[in-house]
Amino acid sequence: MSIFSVAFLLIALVAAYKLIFSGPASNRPPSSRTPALRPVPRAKIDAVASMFPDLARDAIEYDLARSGSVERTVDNIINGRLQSPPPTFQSSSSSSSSSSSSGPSRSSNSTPTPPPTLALLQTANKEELDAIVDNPPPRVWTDTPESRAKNLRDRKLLMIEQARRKFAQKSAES
Amino acid sequence: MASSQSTAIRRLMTEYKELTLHAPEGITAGPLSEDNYLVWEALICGPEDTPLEGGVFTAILTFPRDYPLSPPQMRFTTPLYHPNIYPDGRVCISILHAPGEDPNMYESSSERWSPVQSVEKILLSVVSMLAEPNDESPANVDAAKLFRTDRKAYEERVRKNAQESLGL
Repeated sequence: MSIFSVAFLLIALVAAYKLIFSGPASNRPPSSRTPALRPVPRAKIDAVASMFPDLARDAIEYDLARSGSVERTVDNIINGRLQSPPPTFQSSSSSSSSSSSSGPSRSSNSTPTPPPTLALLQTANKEELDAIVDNPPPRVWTDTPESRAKNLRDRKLLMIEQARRKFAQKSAES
Repeated sequence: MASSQSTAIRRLMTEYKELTLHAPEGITAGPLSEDNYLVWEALICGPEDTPLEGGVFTAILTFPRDYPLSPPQMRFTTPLYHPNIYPDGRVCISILHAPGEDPNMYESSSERWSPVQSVEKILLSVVSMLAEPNDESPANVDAAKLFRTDRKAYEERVRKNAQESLGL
């Protein structure tokens, strides 16, 4: 047996050993495989939480910390790849002695959050709302995603603002 | 896989355009951001002549990558006390179930999901579901019970949802 075939055998053995024993991350130092967890801006957690209000914020934050992107995390959620954060995970909210919910379950947030319609309304000031009601956004399909997003937002605002005004009018009459 | 995803996105873009131009009265819908066509928000006006009249209800639709082969999921993000809406907002109607996965065993396959359905048809079904609850297969047992036994109290509670939906 030449020295080369011995060396080859050794390398193969080491590779096989690594393959067999590298399975669960628990028996290896986490730094060797898990990507570094990034701190997650609150706005990103809010963005995902608004789409999936029933998911625990911890779970969302944990996934964002690993994915680094709202889009990838949304993909993970849609495809059922959202994992429960490990007990060692320090979420930004866990330090404030809030309930440590386990796994992706409905967060036990007791403060009622304002309806999403209000959040949308708050993106516009009174003048803008008046302008939208007086001059309803046209139903057009424009060329750029930006102008389509603006048109969609304005049409949503119109619906909400008209409903609010009607409601106020009705309760004033009765 | 990549091609099925682009099929989904092409189809959703066509539907978005169609809904932008010709959405039925009282419905506004489109992707939350065009960066991700698989997550939409829909606004639905409470149907007239029902206790929900006057309210505007928001829902998130999440589409699978193989849309339109599989249906999206829909979840209201404004509180709605309704026999066919789970307390967490998930909508339970037959058009959102593919044939073969019928949890209630009573739906006919014609009203189930198939690729010829669309976001518009889903939203129209939801509007009629809001107007006429089906208390036979309740997703919210409490709401179904109240709907059946004390219609007045039920309507009172639902009217509150309409008001809350506007932040009033």
